[in-house]
Amino acid sequence: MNGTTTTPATTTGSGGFDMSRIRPYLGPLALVVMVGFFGALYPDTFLTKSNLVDNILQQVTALAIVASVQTVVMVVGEFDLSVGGLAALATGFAATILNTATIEGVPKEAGSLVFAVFLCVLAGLIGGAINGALVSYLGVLAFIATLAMNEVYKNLARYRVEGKPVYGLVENNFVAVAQGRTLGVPNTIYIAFVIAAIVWFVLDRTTLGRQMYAVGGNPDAARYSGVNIKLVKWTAFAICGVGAALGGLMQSAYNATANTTAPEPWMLKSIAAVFLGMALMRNGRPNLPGTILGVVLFRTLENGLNKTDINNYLQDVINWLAVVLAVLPPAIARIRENR
Amino acid sequence: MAEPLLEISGLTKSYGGVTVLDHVDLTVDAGEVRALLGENGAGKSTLIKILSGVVSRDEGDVRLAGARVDITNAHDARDIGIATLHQEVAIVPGLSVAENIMLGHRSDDTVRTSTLGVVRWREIRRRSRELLAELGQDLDVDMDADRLSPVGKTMTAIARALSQNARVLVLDEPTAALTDQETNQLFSAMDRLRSRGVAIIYVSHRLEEVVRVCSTYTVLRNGAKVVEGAIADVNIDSIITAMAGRPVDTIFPPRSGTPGSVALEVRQLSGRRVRELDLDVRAGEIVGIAGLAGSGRSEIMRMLAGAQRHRGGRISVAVDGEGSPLRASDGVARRQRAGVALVPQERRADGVLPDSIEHNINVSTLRRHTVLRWVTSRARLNGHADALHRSLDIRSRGISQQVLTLSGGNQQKVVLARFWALAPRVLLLDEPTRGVDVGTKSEIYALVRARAAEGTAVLVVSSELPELIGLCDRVIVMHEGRSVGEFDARTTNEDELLNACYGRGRQ
Repeated sequence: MNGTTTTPATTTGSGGFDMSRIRPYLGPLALVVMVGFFGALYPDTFLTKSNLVDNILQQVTALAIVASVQTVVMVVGEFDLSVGGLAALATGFAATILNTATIEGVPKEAGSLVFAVFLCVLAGLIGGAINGALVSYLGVLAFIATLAMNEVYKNLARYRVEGKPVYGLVENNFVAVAQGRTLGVPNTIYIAFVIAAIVWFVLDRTTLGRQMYAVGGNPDAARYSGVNIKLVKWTAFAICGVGAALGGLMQSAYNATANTTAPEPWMLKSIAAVFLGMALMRNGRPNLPGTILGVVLFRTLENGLNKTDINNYLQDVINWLAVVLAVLPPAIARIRENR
Repeated sequence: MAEPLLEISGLTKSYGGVTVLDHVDLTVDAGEVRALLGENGAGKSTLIKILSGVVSRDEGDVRLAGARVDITNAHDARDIGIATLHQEVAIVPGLSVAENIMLGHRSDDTVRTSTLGVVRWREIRRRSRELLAELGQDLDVDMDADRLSPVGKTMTAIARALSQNARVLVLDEPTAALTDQETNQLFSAMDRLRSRGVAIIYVSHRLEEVVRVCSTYTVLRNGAKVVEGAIADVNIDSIITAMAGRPVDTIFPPRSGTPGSVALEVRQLSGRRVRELDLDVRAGEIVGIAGLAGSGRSEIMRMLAGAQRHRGGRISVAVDGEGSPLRASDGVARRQRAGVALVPQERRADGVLPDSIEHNINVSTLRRHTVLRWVTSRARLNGHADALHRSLDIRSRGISQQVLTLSGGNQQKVVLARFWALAPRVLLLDEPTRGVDVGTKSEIYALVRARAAEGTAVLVVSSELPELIGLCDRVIVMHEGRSVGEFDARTTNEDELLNACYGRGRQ
């Protein structure tokens, strides 16, 4: 038995309650409620510019970039578990060019910034292209393909940096740009915003984006409509690789340290953010505004709970239960629709 | 008079203010086969869903052998003995036929399927064989059920219903995936069920079958019962009139114009299930392909459209009278650029995208509505979709409506619009009106004929012979991968085509 308690003889229609109409407002509303709630509790520590801008928004800029490109892969109906590994690999290689001392600690001349960024993007592109080829052209399930490649990329990165964090990335304005501010707002926020905007534009306003939604919606129908579904999927993974690399690069610039373990949480958090966005906007399809909202919502709750006396582990229990809670209503609505 | 086995009275259901079932009454006696008829959206599927416990009713009674029953979920429906078979039969792949039949069976006095939780395989096999034998079937019960033929799957599902002591069987478009021969098998199984006293509700768009197999009928229109009676007292035309609510004098448009030069030339085409096929279709001509399922008819379409590779032979599409051969390695997109477009067979699986009407219509022609090559222009996309939306008379609230909320017929029109947009020189239609109501069918025929009149060469595959005869100029019959005959649609008849389908040639 599934425990439903519907009494058929008295059930009336769903009334005037139209989920699809109020859904776009749910996310912003949740954000306002959350900020109001924590703001009322901790007006001095939560509701300050430095907390809202630096501790909440700045802290999720790299994740926002990664979640944006994760959205692209999820739009075509797949997911990429290797974003953390790709970020580690790309930044590991870039950092060993930019550092001012070798891994062994011998001082050296920092390499060209342009070359480092180029190498980072290239590594991300190649990694993403391999993922895409495995999933799209060779038919390996994304789950195992990207899970295994995540370990491959991550451990290649560790091999490159001998498992140590790479310090001393201060030459060539690399760190200065990432740590700098423009009009009082951290530069990383602008960077994340621009990348998210580009991804939004690609998904919403280009033929490629349309084809991606078609492939994710119904691959067979897309194929019969003349869409090259393999190429479209492959492209999604390649874009994801580049984005993950850029996210990792920005993070290590901001920290002035390339740490191969830093991007590890991005795998789960980026996917969770996309799911939050699907629950909050646009008929349950992955979408960029929803993803960004998901990233910010998650971080706001995390930050707010941080101010409380709740045990750190329990804070995470609450954070992730909140994710489940957020995706429940649309899931239930889908079941209800058919009754 | 004895009590009817199943008695539905005053059944009402509405979704968000829209009444889809309005005080519907329906009875079925033991041993009766009642046809439940109506256009798409008439309320048939809602009625079935209520009987199978998938949807809850707002008002009304369901009585089984006189006793009022409450069906809140699928378990209830099974427990009181109502079994529903959907168009796509629910078979668990990877389990044997026997396991599929006894799925969900609870140990009872007649059959003990397990002892203390340990499965009694011998008993399960014996009982499944017994149930299949009652249907006149002799299937290998140890075989993976997924490898069964479509009719084998249907039989397995019916046997499962019997194992659960179903007294009322609801068959929803049971013949959609079956060949004519398989359909005959199903009908003889249904005869056996009738004599066992099972009451059957039969839902189908194929009225020829309804007349053959049903004893009574009920027609729904817009959620209400409009007429019922004995099949013996009516003919197909009057049923159609009742379903459509207006006389359908001309389902098929008049044949028009004289065909032009050859637009599609196929020579010695070979590939999976197709052998050495020669075929010419002229501009302005509608050519039908008949054949049993598995005869290669759909494969021809897929090879022409670039969805399936062909191993041998030559396909050429004429541009201004000059034939240019197409490469075997072409994919769908290349063939579309060469002027060949296929409207695929399965609307749900291969046709609609779970998105708006606009997205669905424009997906094949995105490149045309861009600025800077890659950037889509909203205004042009909307304008294009709007124009097709209007010219195909798609009934909706507008192009931003989600396709999946439309009726089957309108969904099909949206899919057609997508391929209309390509303005193909050669248009391939695979089962263009499957699961579409009579009124919309007629509109689709008119659209296809209009397309042809503009100089498109049209090739139609259909398992409904009257459709081929009514719509096409010529009909080609496939049998085991070969073309076995060509008939003038104006002079041929169903018997002649059917004989050819079975490889018996001209009489």
